[in-house]
Amino acid sequence: MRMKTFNSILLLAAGFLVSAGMVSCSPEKPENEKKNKLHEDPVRAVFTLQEGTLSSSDKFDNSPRMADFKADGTAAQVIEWQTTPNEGWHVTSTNDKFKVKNSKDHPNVVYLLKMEYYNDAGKLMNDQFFAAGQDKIHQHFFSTYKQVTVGGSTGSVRVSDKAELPYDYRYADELNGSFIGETNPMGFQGFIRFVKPGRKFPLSVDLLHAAGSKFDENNKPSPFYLPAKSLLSTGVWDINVKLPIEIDGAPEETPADMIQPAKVEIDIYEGHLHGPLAFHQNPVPKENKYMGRNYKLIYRLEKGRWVAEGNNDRVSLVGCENDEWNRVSAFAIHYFDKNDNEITGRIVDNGEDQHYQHFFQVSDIKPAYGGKEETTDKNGTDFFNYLYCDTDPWNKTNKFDKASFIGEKNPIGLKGYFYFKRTHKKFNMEIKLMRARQSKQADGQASPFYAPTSRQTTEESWLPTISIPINIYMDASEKELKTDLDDFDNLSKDENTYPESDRRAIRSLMEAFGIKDFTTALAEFYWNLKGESKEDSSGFWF
Amino acid sequence: MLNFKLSIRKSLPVLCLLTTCGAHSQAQDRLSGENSIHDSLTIQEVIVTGRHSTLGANHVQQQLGSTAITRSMGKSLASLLENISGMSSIQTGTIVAKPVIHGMYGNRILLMSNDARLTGQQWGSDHAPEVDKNGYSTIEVVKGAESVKYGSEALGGIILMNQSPLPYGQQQVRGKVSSLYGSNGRRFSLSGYAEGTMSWDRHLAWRVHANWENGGDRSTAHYLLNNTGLRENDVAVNLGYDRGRWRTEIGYSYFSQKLGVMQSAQMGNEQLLQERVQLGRPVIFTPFSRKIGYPHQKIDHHTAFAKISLHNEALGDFVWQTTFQKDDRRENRIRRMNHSDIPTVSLHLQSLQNTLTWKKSYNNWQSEGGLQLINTENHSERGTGVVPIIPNYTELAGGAYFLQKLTRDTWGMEGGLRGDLQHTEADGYDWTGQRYGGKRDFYNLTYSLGAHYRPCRHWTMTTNFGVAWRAPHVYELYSNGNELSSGMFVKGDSTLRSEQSYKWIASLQYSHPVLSVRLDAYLQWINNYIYDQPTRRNIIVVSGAYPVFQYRQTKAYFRGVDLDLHLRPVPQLDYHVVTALIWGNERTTHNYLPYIPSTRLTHSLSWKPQTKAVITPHAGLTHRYVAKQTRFDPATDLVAFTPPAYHLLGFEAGIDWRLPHQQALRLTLAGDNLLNKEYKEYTNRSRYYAHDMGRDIRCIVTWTF
Repeated sequence: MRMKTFNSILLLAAGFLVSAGMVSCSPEKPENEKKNKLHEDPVRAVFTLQEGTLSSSDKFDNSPRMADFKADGTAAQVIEWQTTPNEGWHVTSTNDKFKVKNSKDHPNVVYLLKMEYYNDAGKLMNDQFFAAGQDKIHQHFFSTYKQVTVGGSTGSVRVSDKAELPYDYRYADELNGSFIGETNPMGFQGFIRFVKPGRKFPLSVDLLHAAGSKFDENNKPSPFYLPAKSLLSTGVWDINVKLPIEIDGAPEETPADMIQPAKVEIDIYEGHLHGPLAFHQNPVPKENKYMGRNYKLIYRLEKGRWVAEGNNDRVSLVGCENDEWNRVSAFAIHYFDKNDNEITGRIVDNGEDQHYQHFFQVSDIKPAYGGKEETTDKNGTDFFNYLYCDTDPWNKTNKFDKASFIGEKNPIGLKGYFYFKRTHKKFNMEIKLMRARQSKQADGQASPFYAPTSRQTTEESWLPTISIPINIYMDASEKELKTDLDDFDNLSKDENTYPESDRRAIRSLMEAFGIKDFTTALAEFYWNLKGESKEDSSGFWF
Repeated sequence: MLNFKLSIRKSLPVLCLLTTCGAHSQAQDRLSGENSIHDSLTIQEVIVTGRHSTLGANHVQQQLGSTAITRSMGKSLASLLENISGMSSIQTGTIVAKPVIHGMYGNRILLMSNDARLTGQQWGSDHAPEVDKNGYSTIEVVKGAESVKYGSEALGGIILMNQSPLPYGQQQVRGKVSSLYGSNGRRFSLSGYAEGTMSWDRHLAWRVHANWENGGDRSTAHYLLNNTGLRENDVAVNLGYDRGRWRTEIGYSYFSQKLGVMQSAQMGNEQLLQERVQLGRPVIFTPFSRKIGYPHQKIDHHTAFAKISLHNEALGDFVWQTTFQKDDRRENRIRRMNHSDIPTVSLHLQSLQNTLTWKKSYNNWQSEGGLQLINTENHSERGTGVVPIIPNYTELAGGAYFLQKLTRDTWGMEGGLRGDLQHTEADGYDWTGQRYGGKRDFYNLTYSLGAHYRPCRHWTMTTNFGVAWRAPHVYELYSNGNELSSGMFVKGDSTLRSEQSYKWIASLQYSHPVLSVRLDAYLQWINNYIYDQPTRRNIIVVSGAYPVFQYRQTKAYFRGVDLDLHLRPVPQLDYHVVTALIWGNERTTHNYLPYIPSTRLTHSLSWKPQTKAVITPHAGLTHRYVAKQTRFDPATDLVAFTPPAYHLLGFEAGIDWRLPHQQALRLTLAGDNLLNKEYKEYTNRSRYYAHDMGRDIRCIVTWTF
């Protein structure tokens, strides 16, 4: 009996072990479905924009066809997207934007826009969208988006008013030699022209795959910029890319909601800090003609561009590679209308401060005297830093009027200071004023001073850029020469007797201010050290 | 009255009471409105009825019987289980629903079907459990972390679905047939089973079960949801031979389901999603149809098992069960070149489970031990032309456990220990054509402690502390692509570690003919809790920009309270309240975790005369209130707002007709969302572009023979 029981238990255990041993440990070898002929995603997409003309000036609005188009001699612009193993789907062409002519200044110019999609084997697969009735469910749309706020939430919506579009488009597809652009638009080729000068925007190219049919109940297709709601509700996008477009020309008008200045004054001071935001202008000995100079730059808005007044000085400033030296440069900006009335307050009052923000970007950085090219020579905080020091009220000071600093939470940029971390550099400082339609903040935060988002750049209102040539001619530490300057009259006038570092500093000053004479430049260093200056609370404060 | 005696034996349950204060009543089905515990004394006989609880009295659990299951015909498993406090569901549309226990779902809920783990594609948020609930006689929800006996993935709890034992020795053929008509979707359903023994050998018993369902387009309160039809065909056959010490059983079941998916549910890129959210509902409708077009899902699930039991008076009970499952899931979407018949998702999963268990009762003790081995293989069908979001993989998992229980008159306790190991291998190609995958090994030790105390017949307290674990699924480890149903780009993390959960749950129950109250409270700490966190970045793929959700781990903390109350001022009336509160946060940042159900309260008033008449009527009204979910993090969702609160009314009325020869007929008329309220539910992932179900009137006829 016991044996029988033992055998029974053994049988159970054996059954467990035998069936448990029927295992496989390695997974089945996978298939790379990208290489399968059924794989629908293109691996490469080529967007070609060819400049040309149509057979007549009014042809664009009268069913233009391929036969009506004549390319001009310019090379076509091409943007190519590709899926690669490491980077995924991204732009692989050297060209990553289309620069185009506007139709106001160039009324005869139109562009042919073509799409080509390739599979993993390198084969053109455009025919897949036409054959076997697929043309009835596919259509390219060409749209832009704008920000709107509804019920306190800000989101992006497709522009539905054609008049707001900076472009116009006509389908020019052909199937089996017949024109189908109007009756069965596909968008694999078409004509586009750009109607708003000066605009920069991303053109959203969406290839719709409709669930049922792309046509409505009246057998009409949707317009090129706005798929019908039924298509948005049930269709999917086979392909969706953003093609950056830059239209030449000056913007026709400042956006209606934007401040309308005629003149801007920018005051620039060298100074130091009495606290994180409390800027104070440096006292400068009266004998110094160059060092420590402050600037008042005036620009006037003419034909959509800021033009410097003739007597605008070239701005030469001292940098601060080591912030222990506490040397910064303050910028204060004021706007005026055509009657010379100050209108700076319009940026702040009536809640407008929630929409406006100045941005400061550097470009075209080159070594100045005594400098060299560095990897930090690019727009970013490795090169320079800026702190927004706006006050409330905007036209009062924190020092004397006890106005509070609001710049950290509500950056506007009417007042602020720069640390220029890399010295002996020449560059352009680009000052840009944005007015956001809804809010300058996203997720409760404003964009950093040097980097508006690409959405802000393309969708918000902007004044023309103010470009200021700047020379950071020396570091603050170089103001004190190694040479003892106590007895100026007995100082050598031969620059070769000075240490290399002193010569570098002196020559930098000479180049910055156009000083021809070495002794004159040397005297600047002498008076900077020995001259009398008022060490009091006079001068410019935030 | 509680009597305390200062002895080691008696003080132990008191300590448990002082530290936990839970209560549990063993094995009562509160949801059918029946009072299943009868104490009646007659001169000739004493009748005591109860219901077997799979895990025992030291666990917090609730059970649904066959009556409740039949009455929920036409509803999903998750919808049925929502009648239990602490249960809710995660839905995708009107058909797909996954049960949620205390905020946990998917791979954190273990589904056991006839003592075998249900192996399928539970990782998918739009993958419903591949079971026909009508084929079970009991469905039990165990709310603790019960890894010791069942192994990994029982973090939130376990749903035990069992058929009744085969009718060995039964002379007659018995069975049940139920039919349903549901107005929403104009759906028909027929379900039934028959069981008996062979006339030449009553030791040979059999059971056959079948289910058929056909439904068309569902509707919300005001509009149709086109292409949401359903087809389901299920069959199950069991055969057993009982020879006293030995018992051998074999069985086979087949579950086949095809369900239509709304075209709006084919998610696109972020811009398309925003536009659909702005629309908020479909804009084009076609007339009602039963036709299931594209897109749709088709699931076929086969299960075959063999079970041998050996009973030995001296050594105890030995059971060996082997279960083979095959799960084929195909998802077809609208594709170019008329290739919609070729699926975009085609997954084939096979698993073989083996368990060998031993149980021995002696005096007041019971010892139990077991070995388990599960081998799973999953691969994608070749040649679909669509890059699968998960790689091909195999999992080999083994575990051994031991449980010791002590049961006395008024109290009991148990402790258990288990060791597990799991080996996972994965191999696949991602959407850029790169090969990826790897091997991972996971080791875990889990334990549990439980106790119950019944100081008198009215009060029961139960407490249970359990450690559970879950290895990351290959989806969480290796996914790198668009989730077709959600509009998200999901990235896995191949370095994820196992989740480890520590769950303490306590239950306090008071039972009285007039008032029955059950209060469950729980705290659960989970280390290495895996979830997909939005990175606030987009990825650009061919079809546009998608928000990137990255799987990561955090420390999570869940806690909540469930209440289940019956008030019977007179025996014919039963006022029933079920409500639950739950909070789920990250422990470090205190951010809310996604898809935690909001506060909800369901109460009903039912009437059933206590009569022995041939025809017995019953009726009831139900009201459900679901609050707006405010404890959520907008950053973890595709939209930054949750739907408003809503109320739903329901009713049920019917008669039970006792027929001769132990037959019975039950007619039921039931309705959900009687006022046809238009609403959206936070835990329904289709809420971005459609409302939830409108009014549904169901007519069910059940014949028991």
